[in-house]
Amino acid sequence: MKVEDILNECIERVMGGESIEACLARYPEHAPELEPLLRVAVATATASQVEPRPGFKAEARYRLQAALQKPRRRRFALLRGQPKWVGAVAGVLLLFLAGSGTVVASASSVPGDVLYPVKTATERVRMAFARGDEARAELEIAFAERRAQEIVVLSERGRVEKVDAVVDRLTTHLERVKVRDIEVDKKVDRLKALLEQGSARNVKLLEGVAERVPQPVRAVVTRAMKRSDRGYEKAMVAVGAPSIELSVSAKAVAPEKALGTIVVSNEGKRAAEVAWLRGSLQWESEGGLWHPLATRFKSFPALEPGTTIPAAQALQLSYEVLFIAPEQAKKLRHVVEVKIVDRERVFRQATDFEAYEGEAGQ
Amino acid sequence: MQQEKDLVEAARRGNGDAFSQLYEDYFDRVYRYIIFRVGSQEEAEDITEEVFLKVWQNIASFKWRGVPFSSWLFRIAHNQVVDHLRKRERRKGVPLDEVAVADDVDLDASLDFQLSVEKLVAAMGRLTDAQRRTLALRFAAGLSLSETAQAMGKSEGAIKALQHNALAALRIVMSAEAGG
Repeated sequence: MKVEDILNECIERVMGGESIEACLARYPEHAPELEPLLRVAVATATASQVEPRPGFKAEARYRLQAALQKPRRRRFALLRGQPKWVGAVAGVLLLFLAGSGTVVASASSVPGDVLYPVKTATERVRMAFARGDEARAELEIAFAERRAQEIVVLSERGRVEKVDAVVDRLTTHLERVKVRDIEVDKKVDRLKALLEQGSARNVKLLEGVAERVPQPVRAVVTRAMKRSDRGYEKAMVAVGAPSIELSVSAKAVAPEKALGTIVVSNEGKRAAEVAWLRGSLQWESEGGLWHPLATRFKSFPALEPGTTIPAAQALQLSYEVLFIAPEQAKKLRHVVEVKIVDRERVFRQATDFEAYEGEAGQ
Repeated sequence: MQQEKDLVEAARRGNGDAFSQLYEDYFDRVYRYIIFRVGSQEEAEDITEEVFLKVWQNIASFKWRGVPFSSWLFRIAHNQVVDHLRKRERRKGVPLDEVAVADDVDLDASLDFQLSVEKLVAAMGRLTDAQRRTLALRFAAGLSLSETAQAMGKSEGAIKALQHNALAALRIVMSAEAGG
C-alpha cells in the first residue's frame, strides 16, 4: 500500500472524527512520515472553515434573483443573427406568455425566495405595458392582492420580519390607484368595485391566517390587516368613493351602566349617506373569547334614514347603555358598525373598556 | 444523493425553488473553496456570486454521465477562479483581506502551528496549481476523493498523489516560515 493511499485513508478517518494518534497506531511504520502531514491536513481543513460575512449570503441571493430575471441564454439560440430588438421583444413576450418555467415558478414566491425578484420584475414589465390610468390602476389593485397573499405565506412560515415591508408595498400599490378626473371618468365605478372586492378578499385572507397562527405572529397579521384596510380606504377616496372612519370610546360608570361616544368621520370627498348604525357590547372570557352581552341602549343614536355627513365632517353621537355583565367579565368591548350608501362593506370599530371597579375606597 | 439528483433535474427544467435549494446546499462550500484560492474576502464574494449565476445559466446543459453535480459545480468555480486570477495578474498587487474564521473552530492545541486563512493562502502560493486545487477541493469544499477526481478530470490515484505532495510541500513552506 502506497503512503499516499494510507495518508488518504487517515485523512478520511480523522475528518470522520478519529484522532490522529489512533490512525497513526494503525500504521506505526509510516507514523513518522504521516504525522506531520496529517497535522498540516487538519490545520488546513480547520483554517479553511471560513464563514461567509454575515448578510453576504442573503445579499448574494437577492442579487442572484435579480439576475434570474433574464431568461437563460440558450433560450435565445433561435435568435442568433437577429437584430438586438428582436431579443428584447422576445424576452418581454416570454415574460408575458409565462412560457418560462422561471416566471411560472416565481408566481407563488414570497420575499426571501430566490425567484421573488422575477415575480416583481414581471409585475414591472406588465405595468410598463399597461395602457392608460385605468389599466394601470387595475394592475395595482391586482398586485395589492398578491401582496396580501404573500403576507399569508410569510405569516404561515413564521417569517414575520418581512411582513411590514410587504404591507408597505401593498399600500404603495393602492396609493398609485388614481384616475385623472373622478367626475368624468366613466370607468371609475369599475375601479371602485375592484377595490371593494379586493379589500373584502384581503380581509378574509388575513383574518383566516390570523386565526391559524400563534399569538406573536397574529399581532403582526392584525397590524398588517389594519394598515391594509386604511390603504384600501384611501384608494377608495382617491377614486371618489365615500369612506368612513369610526372612533368609539366607552366607560363603565356603574356595574351595569356605560357611557359612550361614537364619532363617524366622513373621509371622502363628498357627502356620505348613512344607511344604518348598530352598536353592541361583548365581554371577554378566559382564553380571549368574546361573547355578546345582553344590553339595553337607553339613548343609542337613532339615525333618520337619509342622514348625511358632509365631506370632511364628522357626526358625534353620545349614548348610555345598560347591561348585565357576568362576574368573570374583566374586559368589555363596544362594537359599532356603520353602513353607508354606495359602499358594499360595513365599517366596524371595536373598543375595549374595563368593567366597573367601583369608587375609590369602596 | 437521489434527492440532489431530483433537485438538479428540477433546476434543469427551470424550477427556481429547486435551484434555490441547491444554492443553499452549496453556497458555503463554494465560498470556502474560492476564498481558499484567492485569499480575499471581497474577491471571493464576487466570484461566488458569479459562480452561481453561471451554474444557473448552464445547468440545463448539465448531463449526469457519471459526473456528480458537485464535481461539475466546482469545475465552474475553478474556471471562474482561474479567470479571476488571470485578470488580477494583469492588475497586480491585490492585498489579502482580513477574514473571519468561524467562532466554533477549535484548533487542536497540540498542532505544531495554527493557520489563518491568509497564511494558508500565502503558503499555498508556493504550491503548483494542481496541488492548490486539490487541497481547496478536499479541505475547503469538503469534496470526497472521487468527487475531487471528477472535478479535476483525474484518476483517484492521481488525486491521492497530489494530495500527499501538496501537504508535504505545504509543511515545508510552513516550517520554513515558522523558522524565520
